[in-house]
Amino acid sequence: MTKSVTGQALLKQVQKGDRILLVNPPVFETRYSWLRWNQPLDLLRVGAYLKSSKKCSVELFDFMLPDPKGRVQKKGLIGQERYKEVGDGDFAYTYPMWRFGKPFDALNDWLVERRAGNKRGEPTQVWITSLCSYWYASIHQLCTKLRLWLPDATLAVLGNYPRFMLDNAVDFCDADLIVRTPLKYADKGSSLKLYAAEKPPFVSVPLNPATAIPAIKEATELGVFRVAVFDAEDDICRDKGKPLREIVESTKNLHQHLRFYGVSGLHPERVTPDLAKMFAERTFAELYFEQSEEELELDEAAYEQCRAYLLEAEIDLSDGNKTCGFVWIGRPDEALEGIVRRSFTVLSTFGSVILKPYTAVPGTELYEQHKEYLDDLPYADLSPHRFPFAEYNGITRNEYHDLYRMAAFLNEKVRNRSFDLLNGSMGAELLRNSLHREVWNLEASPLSIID
Amino acid sequence: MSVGGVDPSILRELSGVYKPFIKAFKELVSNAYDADAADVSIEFADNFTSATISDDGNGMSPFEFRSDFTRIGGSSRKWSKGTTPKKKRSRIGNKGIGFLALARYCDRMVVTSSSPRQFKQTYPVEETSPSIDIVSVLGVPIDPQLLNKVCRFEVTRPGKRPKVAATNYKLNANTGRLDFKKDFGPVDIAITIDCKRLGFQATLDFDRLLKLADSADLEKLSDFTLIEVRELPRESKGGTTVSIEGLKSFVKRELRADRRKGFVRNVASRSGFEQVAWHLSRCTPIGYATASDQAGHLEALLEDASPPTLDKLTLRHGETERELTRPLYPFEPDAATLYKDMITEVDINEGGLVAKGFLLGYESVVFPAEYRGVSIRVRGVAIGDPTFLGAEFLLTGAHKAALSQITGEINVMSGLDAVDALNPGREDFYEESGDFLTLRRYFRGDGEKVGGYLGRTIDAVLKRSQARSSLNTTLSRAACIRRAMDDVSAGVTHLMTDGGKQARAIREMLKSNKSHSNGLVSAKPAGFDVPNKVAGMAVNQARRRSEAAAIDYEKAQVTIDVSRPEWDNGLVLFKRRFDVIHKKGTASQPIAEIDFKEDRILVNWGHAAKLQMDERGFLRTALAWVLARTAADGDADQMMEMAITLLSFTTQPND
Repeated sequence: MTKSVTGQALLKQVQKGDRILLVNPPVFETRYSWLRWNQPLDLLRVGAYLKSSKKCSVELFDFMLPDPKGRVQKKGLIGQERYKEVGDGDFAYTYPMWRFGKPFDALNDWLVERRAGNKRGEPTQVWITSLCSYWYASIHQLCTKLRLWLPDATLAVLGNYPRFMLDNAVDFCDADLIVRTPLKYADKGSSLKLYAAEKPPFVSVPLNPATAIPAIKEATELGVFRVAVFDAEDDICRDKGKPLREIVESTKNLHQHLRFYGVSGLHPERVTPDLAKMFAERTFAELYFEQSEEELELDEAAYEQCRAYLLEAEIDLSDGNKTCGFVWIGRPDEALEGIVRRSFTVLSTFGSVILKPYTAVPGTELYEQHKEYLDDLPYADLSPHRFPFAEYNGITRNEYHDLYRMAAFLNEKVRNRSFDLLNGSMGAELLRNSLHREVWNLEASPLSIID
Repeated sequence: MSVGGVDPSILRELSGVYKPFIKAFKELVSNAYDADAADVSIEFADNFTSATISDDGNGMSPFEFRSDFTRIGGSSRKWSKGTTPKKKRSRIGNKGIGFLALARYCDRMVVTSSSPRQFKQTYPVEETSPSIDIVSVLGVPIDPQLLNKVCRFEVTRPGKRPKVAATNYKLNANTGRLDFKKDFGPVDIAITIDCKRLGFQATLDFDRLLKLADSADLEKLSDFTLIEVRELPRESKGGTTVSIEGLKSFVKRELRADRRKGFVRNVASRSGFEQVAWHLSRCTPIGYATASDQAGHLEALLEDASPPTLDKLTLRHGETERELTRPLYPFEPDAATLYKDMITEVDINEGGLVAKGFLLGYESVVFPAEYRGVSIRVRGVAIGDPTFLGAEFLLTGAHKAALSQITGEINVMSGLDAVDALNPGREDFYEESGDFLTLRRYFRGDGEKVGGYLGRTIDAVLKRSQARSSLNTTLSRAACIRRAMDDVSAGVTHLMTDGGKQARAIREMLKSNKSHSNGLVSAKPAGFDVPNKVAGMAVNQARRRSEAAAIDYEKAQVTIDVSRPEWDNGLVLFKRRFDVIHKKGTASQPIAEIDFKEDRILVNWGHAAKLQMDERGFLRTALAWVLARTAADGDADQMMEMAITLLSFTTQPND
């Protein structure tokens, strides 16, 4: 019998000696190219807590973990699921659908291998997380399969899916517990050690020196040198950058290859001259500047000032190698020319631009304002990649995809220095292009919406 | 010096029996073995223009070189029987044409040797007056002064007073002639030469010899060997060095060849020098490489089957130096696992033929391919390449294919002598040889059916392969059935996820507690459970194993891990679990029946639709049909739509 419970109730029912398997499920989606920054932080953190406070055995199976070559598996869905048609008339668009992550059988194989000679016994509980509320199809399938593979285990589904779509989760997940509220527990940091023999490509740490510094130390010992800092308040420069500076200063000499990545919560208006100097250091590899969610238009003065600080700190903004700015697309009430204008502003400020599809998160002001409109849409169509506000804005999905192409074109124009013909040979330019980030498929970092 | 009376074109033909180069070259190692050498060293010049082989064996005096080494057939009988003087090795022996082995591959061969052995020979002479040219009698150009130092004579006559007093003859140190005071008529002159301080260097000019073959100039034939005898500064300890100089361009090309690019497994793809090393180590009388752990049970067999060998065979080229040992397939680092039941011990002792060894069968094809077949060694020297002694022409199908999974070693300790049983070049056996016929009979049996040791090994290989194949069929069938159920299960979940009319219908259906079964319950089981036997071996059911299944050939038992999903009959349909029961009903009974009361679905494998589909397709169809029919509850359109969705949905792309 499926039961809806709070996060606290989920934690409470855990017994000492429980064997808990944490699962980051695969994703069925048309696009998911921020893959390299995908990490089930919620599972890593709750895993650390369960181990230290509940004295449980905790294991992690991450379907989204890249292979040793850094690639996350991607396979087309089969049959009727291969293509998803959205919208009608001019707004119609056919999306190819993919499974991102390992196949379901990978978990079965892992369980079979684990069984052989393992005296700890089968997992008593399986906790499946969900990054986005609209990514539920794979969770439904996973629950059905786990019922067969681990018939005696308690299945729990947590994360944003049950949090924002509780009724759907209770109705359609073959799970025992549907967790409707975020888990609250004493922060014990996150443990990459849950990855056991496999090595994740990066470590995400919260903007809290007390937990971030040990986590970075642990990561470097495991040979993980990329660090992404995130903040629950979506501002990694808060308190005048003091916590960020403390984290960086305390850890930057741990290893010569250690690099920081500002992939979320970095706002242009929060950058100070001192922070710009810190960003200029070699330790910072990439900086992605957010566009404010509250305002449709950019605060151009703040962008100008941020650019001045970055230039003063001698950061090369000409080719967007280190810096990049996001521009929302798919927000309600936006217009095509506005997006283009904002894209040019961001491009001229940071050297490259990434269009970030807007996700209408329940509970936010924008969502509530458009709740009636959104409630009429099928749940799965709330995916930002399907542009749920297309009809509302009068911008067709084809036009949105033209904007992606435009962004890619603009980035290329800056990067290959089309107007600087004397600088480098064509071969050099081609090589540089091939080495650059792929911007066509980039999307917002998932780190910003993890609970 | 002369090879005497043989047409040069015949010599050229004789030299042609040794091919390729390495097979000719190995003769020099065999010579060293027969000369009681312990250490043999081979060195190729940097540019592969020459090669030198040195040994610490007994060596040769110049007179032995004359009488045994360069005489066609001169050494065959003498050196083919018995044992060597010091180490008592059974001689490898030869046909007396060994010195020609390398004639086609180089311009000349330079032999440097000495031996402390005394040379003794008696020469009959018709008349003694007034003197006899001893240098000519010996046939070796030796300085008369030196000859005088080392030579003693004894002259005898037939009759009552056979011995001729030494005062009646004397060697002239200037002319090398034995001068007699008077004519004693026909006498025998026994010449004894102390060779302790004699050494020689002989150059065999093969280039000249083979050119003579073109002109068939018999008169010039005697000029092809130059020999220089010299006094050694100290007493000889024996030993021989043979240099082959002016290697032909095709030989150099082969030796210099690079390793073939890309992924290669066979020896033929290795560099020329690597190939030389490999072939030398396989065909010369040297010790076996050290056994690896997995081939531990071979050690005893190897010990039993190993004739005496050289202590050391070293191969050098430039900076590279390696001590060769004989490689065996089981000792290769990536050799397949060797199982006890795949080892056939060879032990022959009949009519003078004594042979020991083993045949090894494997579950996979043997690589490098050069290991496939059985190496037959006579006195440690491989006769030709590994062989199946003609069995390959008798076998067909799987039996023939099994040969690629067999390797082995047979060492002939006695019998199969070089003269009587081996062809020139030691590449094959004479079929009329009694020893060979005995060997072949033991090896592959008589007649058209292959038996003997090889037959037993083939049977062992096939038994494993059939058992594996049978087990694989069992496992893949179970996986197939499981996959069909997983697809249907995922299809139902998908229908639920999509919501709408079909989801409601399924939800309603799954609330039911009614039984829709009507007859299939009493039908016979269709046999999809864990079998009692696989390939005639009893099945032992186990849980939580690292392998899905394992075969114990010694106990004739198969263990199957039944805790894996493949053996689970459960079908999870959105929060409810059913057991799928496979029945063999009649063609007229329904394809499937669902029993909500007992939470089971009965599938009729006797249904006529089965004839049109494979097992996975049939099970999916049966399950989709019974679920769609029950859920649609009479709505034909909905039933079709649902069934088609269930049949087309899968979460298992072929990755």
